[in-house]
Amino acid sequence: MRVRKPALILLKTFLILLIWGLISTSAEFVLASFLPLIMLAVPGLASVRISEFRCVNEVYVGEVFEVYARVSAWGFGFLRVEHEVPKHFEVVEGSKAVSSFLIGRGVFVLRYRVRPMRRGTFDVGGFRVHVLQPMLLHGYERWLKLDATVTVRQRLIRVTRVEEVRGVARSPVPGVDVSRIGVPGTDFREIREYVYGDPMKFVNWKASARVGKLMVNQYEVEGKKAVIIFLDANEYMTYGKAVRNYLECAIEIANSLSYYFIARGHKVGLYVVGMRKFVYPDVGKRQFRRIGDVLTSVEPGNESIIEAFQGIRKMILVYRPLLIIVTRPEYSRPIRVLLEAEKMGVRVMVIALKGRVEGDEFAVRIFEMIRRRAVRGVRAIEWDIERPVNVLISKVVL
Amino acid sequence: MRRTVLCLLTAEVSAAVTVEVISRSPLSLFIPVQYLYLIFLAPPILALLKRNPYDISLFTAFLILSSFKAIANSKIIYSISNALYYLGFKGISERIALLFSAYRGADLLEILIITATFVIAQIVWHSDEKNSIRVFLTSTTFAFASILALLELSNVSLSGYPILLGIAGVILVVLAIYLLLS
Repeated sequence: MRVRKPALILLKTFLILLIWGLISTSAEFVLASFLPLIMLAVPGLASVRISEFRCVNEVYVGEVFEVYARVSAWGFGFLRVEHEVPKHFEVVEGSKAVSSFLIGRGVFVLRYRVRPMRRGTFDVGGFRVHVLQPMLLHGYERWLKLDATVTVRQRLIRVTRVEEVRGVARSPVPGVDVSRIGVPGTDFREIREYVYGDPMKFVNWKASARVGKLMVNQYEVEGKKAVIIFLDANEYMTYGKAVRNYLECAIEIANSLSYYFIARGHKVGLYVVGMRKFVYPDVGKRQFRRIGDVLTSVEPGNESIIEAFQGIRKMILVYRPLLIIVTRPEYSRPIRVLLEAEKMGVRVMVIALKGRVEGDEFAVRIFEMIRRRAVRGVRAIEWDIERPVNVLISKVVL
Repeated sequence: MRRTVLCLLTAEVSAAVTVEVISRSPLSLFIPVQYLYLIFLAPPILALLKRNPYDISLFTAFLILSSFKAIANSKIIYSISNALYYLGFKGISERIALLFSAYRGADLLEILIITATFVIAQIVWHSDEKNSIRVFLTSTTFAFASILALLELSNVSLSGYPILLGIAGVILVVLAIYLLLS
């Protein structure tokens, strides 16, 4: 129950009149004191239900969509029905609330267009109903819940590569590199010593007899080189606006890169640093979907990059993938990871995000110095989070 | 703006009723009636100060002023007079009894109007600008119906105004329904 200020004033008036009436033994004042009480006793009641609700289930960040709700109500009083829109949704057209004076039955339509500004799965089934008595003295509020969610996926930047030129690569991005593990094909690579687990059908008996040890034929495996993306989702990545910060930019980059490599037949894996979530490298549309689902649910956590690297070290040794780390190097300090990876013979690319630093000139300069020092030891592509991601993707892959 | 005008209107109605009540009360023996018209200035001054033109302090003032007539009916005055008589202050006792007994009579309607206008002003003042007229009409209709019910309850004779009250009631109800449904 919500009691508004005038209701309290009316209650005060009742008490003043009653007390004065009793003190002065005046029946007129006592009778007059009932007037504010009668006004307070007027009820405001409404029964409300959502008879129809239409909304998309899946949408991309920044894509505008329409919400439609039909509200049926009956009762007496002021009625206001408000659709609870998640805080990262921006209403671009129409209104998400309707209010009217209700006598008997009424049908209202809520129709508006919104733009989601952040990825995630959002509950859009909540309606807040305010009912006030006709003189707006008091009322109540209640919630109507529908089972409706909208999944907002991160934006996907598609890059069309012009051509593949064989030569000395400027970047470690795999073009025609083949995978280290997978289904063996028919192309012969080499003869090597037998190790436990090798299929017997690959044993080269002639070579074994010649050398005196069990030797097996090694064939080229099908599939291209694996790529593992390390997405840094530590607390320091959330600096900036809720809709555009380091983390959101990193997610967009990770999504676009995974699409690019999967579209070209590479095995792509994802590790979310902070959430300790690992998606094993795989190929195909389903893998892209899997990565997309994880990216949609990313929340900031706490884990160091080296800890994450040690956690999936064995996997890295098996796949020998290209590691792409999207981070803020001044906080995550990925140099140890680079050294470890170098020892293991794994190539690493660091996408170092930078954004606008707020503060006084001196503090900003000090921060920039620290940042430059942190980035200097890292093989990194520096990227301003305010710039469009498609330019970065072309820079990474070409 | 709309709210202020409506509150000003209710305050002036209340001021007019108060002046009328005072002119019929023992207070009129001490204060000349022409000075009472200064009461009408209070609501516009409050409005100019960007305050509620009919706030609780003004209502209390109206109530105190009009209670001089109401307490003429109260037993407390006559018990004081009797007590003074018993204690030996015969002269004062007789004067008090004479002063108040001359103004005896029912005045429930005036107090009800002052209270109702205050209640309406409070409701309108705390409503939003957009809904103020609608709220004013609704509260006036409810107040009107309540006054009639309370008068009926106290057996006050309405023989002087049945047609006027009936017409006012019908107009109010029709206007309120029209505005609420529009």
